[in-house]
Amino acid sequence: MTKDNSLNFYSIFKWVIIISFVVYAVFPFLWLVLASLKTNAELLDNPFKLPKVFQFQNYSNAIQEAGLIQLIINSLVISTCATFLNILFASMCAFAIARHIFWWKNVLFLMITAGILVPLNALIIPYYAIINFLNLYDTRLGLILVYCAVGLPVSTFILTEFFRGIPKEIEEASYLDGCNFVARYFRIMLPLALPGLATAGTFQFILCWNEFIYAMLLTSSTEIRTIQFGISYFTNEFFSDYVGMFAAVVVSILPSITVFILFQERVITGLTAGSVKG
Amino acid sequence: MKIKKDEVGWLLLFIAPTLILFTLFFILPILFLLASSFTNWDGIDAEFVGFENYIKLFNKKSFVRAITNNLYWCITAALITVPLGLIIALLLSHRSRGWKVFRTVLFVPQVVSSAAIAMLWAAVFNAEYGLLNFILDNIGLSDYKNHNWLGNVRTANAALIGFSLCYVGYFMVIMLAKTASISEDYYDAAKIDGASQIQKDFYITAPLIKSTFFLCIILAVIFNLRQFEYVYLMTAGGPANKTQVLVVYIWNELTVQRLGRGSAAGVIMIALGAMLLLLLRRILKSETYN
Amino acid sequence: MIKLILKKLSITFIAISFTVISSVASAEITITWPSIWVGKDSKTTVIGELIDEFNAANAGSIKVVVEEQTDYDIYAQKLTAQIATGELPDIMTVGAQLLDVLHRSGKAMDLAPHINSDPHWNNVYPENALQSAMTDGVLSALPYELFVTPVTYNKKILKEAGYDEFPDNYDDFFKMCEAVTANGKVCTSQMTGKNGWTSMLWYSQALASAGGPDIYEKGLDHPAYVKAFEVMEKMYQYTTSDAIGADAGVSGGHFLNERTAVFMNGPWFIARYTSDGIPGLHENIGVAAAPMLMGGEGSPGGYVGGRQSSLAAGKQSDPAKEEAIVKFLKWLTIPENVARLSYSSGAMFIVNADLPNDMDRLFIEMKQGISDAPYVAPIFQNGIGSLAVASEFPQALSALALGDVTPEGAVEMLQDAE
Repeated sequence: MTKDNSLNFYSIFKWVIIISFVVYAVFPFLWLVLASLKTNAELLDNPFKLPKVFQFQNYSNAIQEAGLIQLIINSLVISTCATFLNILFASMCAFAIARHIFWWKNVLFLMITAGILVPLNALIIPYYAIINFLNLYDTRLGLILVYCAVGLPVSTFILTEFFRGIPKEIEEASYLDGCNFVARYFRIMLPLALPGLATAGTFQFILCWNEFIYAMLLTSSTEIRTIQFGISYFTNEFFSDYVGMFAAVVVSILPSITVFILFQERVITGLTAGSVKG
Repeated sequence: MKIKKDEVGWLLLFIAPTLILFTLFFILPILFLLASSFTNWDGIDAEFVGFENYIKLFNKKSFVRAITNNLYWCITAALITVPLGLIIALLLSHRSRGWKVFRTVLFVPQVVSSAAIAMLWAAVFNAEYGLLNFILDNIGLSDYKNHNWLGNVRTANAALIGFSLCYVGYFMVIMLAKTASISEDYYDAAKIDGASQIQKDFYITAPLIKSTFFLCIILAVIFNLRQFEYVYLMTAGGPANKTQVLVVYIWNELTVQRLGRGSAAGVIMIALGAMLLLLLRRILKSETYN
Repeated sequence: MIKLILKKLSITFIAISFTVISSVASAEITITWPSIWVGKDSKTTVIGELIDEFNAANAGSIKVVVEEQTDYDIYAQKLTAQIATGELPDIMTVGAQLLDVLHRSGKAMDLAPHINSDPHWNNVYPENALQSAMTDGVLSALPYELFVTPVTYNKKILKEAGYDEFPDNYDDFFKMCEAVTANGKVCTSQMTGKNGWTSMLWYSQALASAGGPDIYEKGLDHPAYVKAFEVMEKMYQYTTSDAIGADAGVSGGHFLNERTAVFMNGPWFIARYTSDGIPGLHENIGVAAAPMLMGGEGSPGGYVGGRQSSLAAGKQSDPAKEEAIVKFLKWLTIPENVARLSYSSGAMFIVNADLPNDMDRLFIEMKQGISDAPYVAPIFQNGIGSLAVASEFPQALSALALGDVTPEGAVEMLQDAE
């Protein structure tokens, strides 16, 4: 009896918590969609009133004026490449650190972790100089390199932790079977660390997708710029077309949510691949 | 695993790409930051001024305020945001109906441009037509009818934290991913023992993802040390510098072309972060690292 | 292993050389212009037309290419980075706060020789406008856009409160605010968010009124700075409850929706009274000079305003390119072209241009106000001559409005920012 009661109480608690946070998270999104269907005058009058007429043309205007399609494609290319490289490099490094013993590994790990606390906004001039020095100003490769690099500390940190969680026995068995270094990484560790890879990859992708300062600083031509430029297109020094901006924001969310869902599906398939023990 | 002689090359090769990029985009810029922090560089001229920038910074009330505010952000992140994320991750790990939808929904704020979300929350907290005051007024708290949440010294920081809680999904997703790697065997065994759901959550799942929980705390503390966007977009450090944080302070120094002093503030921030990191490692040591 | 590293390196090199090859020069001179007059800016359309016409007229020899800079803060950071580490773009739009650093960098093209050698500039600019913009005989940036920020007020709200005329001194002004408040409306739109723009303009007005148009040369110790903060302290008793921390959208939104009676902003805001205001707002708006402080050193009818954006060019080693850039700058300063820009955007320019008769009524009233004004004093943000002090202003103002500091204390906060 007592067990049943506690179960009920717990499950009420559970749903209260989940629902309230869902509301917390979803409310801004709903507001955003609603606001993007207003006129600017309506928005300034009262941000929470419903629009008189839904202004669906805000979307077509936004997509056309700011050339959102091209920018989204650019963002997809840049974010995908940067995420792939970042996860590849970070997982290689994390594998080396988490699964091997060498005398300077703690120093290395601490140093890379410390990279998380570097205030990237303070490095505008050095980054501009480095990218110019490499002759990568206004190129996709330049942005890819920067995004790949700035995400390395977080990705390495997360992945090291996930690699550490994989039981030693699995790797040792494969080692005895004659698997070499590279094979252990590709065949054994990567599949087992899929939830970790997907998680780190999600964050890396979101970082690339949402990054604004360096996207503006290191590029100048529209053929290369990312979706964040499309969002800023609607704000100016003295005038902001909020509803146009909101429409652009809503459009920009769709691809990144899709990527999130795809990546997170890997976490589940990673699970069903089985043979993993906490 | 001990490294065999013939595998040392592979090991180095695996570390090399990260190390090269890290050197290029972290170590070099930081050395540059350090060097310029001892000058009065303004973009054109630079003279060596010794520790002047550092001394001036620590004599600024607004800079000291920024440090304490950052610590406040770090502490609330470790004590509120991450534990909340853990609770939600535990609840979602039951995989009840619709858990995938909830997971995605909770992550949505992460992918929405923060400029747009900040604009919404500024409107929620607005004193004239804000939603929060409207609700409070309607449930009888008429004192709050025109309360300016972000413009009041007492409530500005709290309102910012409240706003930041909508990003709890970030840490929830990391911890939830970790629960995916827990073997069903544990739960089957617990079922046989007649454990309730709450017992399973707190005696099986929670301990097994403890290391990830600590990882999240470390990440949360560091992220909040370099807190920029929320504060910059919502209050820009105001009113009266009361919500100032380090990175906003640095950004302002760069905007007014005091690049040397901005660098010094950056160096102080990195030093502070390194100390916090070492402290956290010591506190969480036995659990996370071998 | 070394082989692999070499392979990696060579891939990088191929990538680099690829970008170099792709930017091989052609016979046509390309001029790049990172412009802020893009996107939703009111000048976007006509600037685009002017560039197209220029490119068409010079097809095959010169081509102007715009790089869109939509975020002003980041554009300013980028220029700082370019000044610090590399070369400047061919043409730039520079705000007042970057003029000094641009000049000192020595990386900007000196336009003085071109002005002396060609009568065009001296013909189209008012007398001394160019000479006064020079430093030691060097002209690093061509003055272009101009602005003033008189008071705009809602005649309807004032009438309801019993006022037909806008008061010319602060004693009467605050009495009027009292009457407006008693009538259930709010008197002024204020803000301390971001750079505190609207409030900073009020402060500038009060400052010029208390200390005269040359107040910025008198130093922060001058009592006018305290007096102007005393005005602001009072002003914040008659503003909306969300003023502290409000941004330009919020403070402007109140005026557009007739929640506040008085607002201060530049001519670029005129078009929004029609596009974003509640119906009929535009007809109800009056323009006036700011009130005066009794016993101040300023004169009645004084305006504040100043240089908005200037045009600058990066130093060139190729004389042909320098000529091309100068040619384009001349194109932008031809009176007919300036008139088109002004007409479509509502912006004001320093260049003498005959404007069409059907310009917006408020624009004409502002223009009239300038020619009647005894002076146009600089706004605080530009006149004070220190970026650090200017950026501390919203913090000092919010501290004052919260009762954290006295007007003297607010001035001390400004002094400490240096």
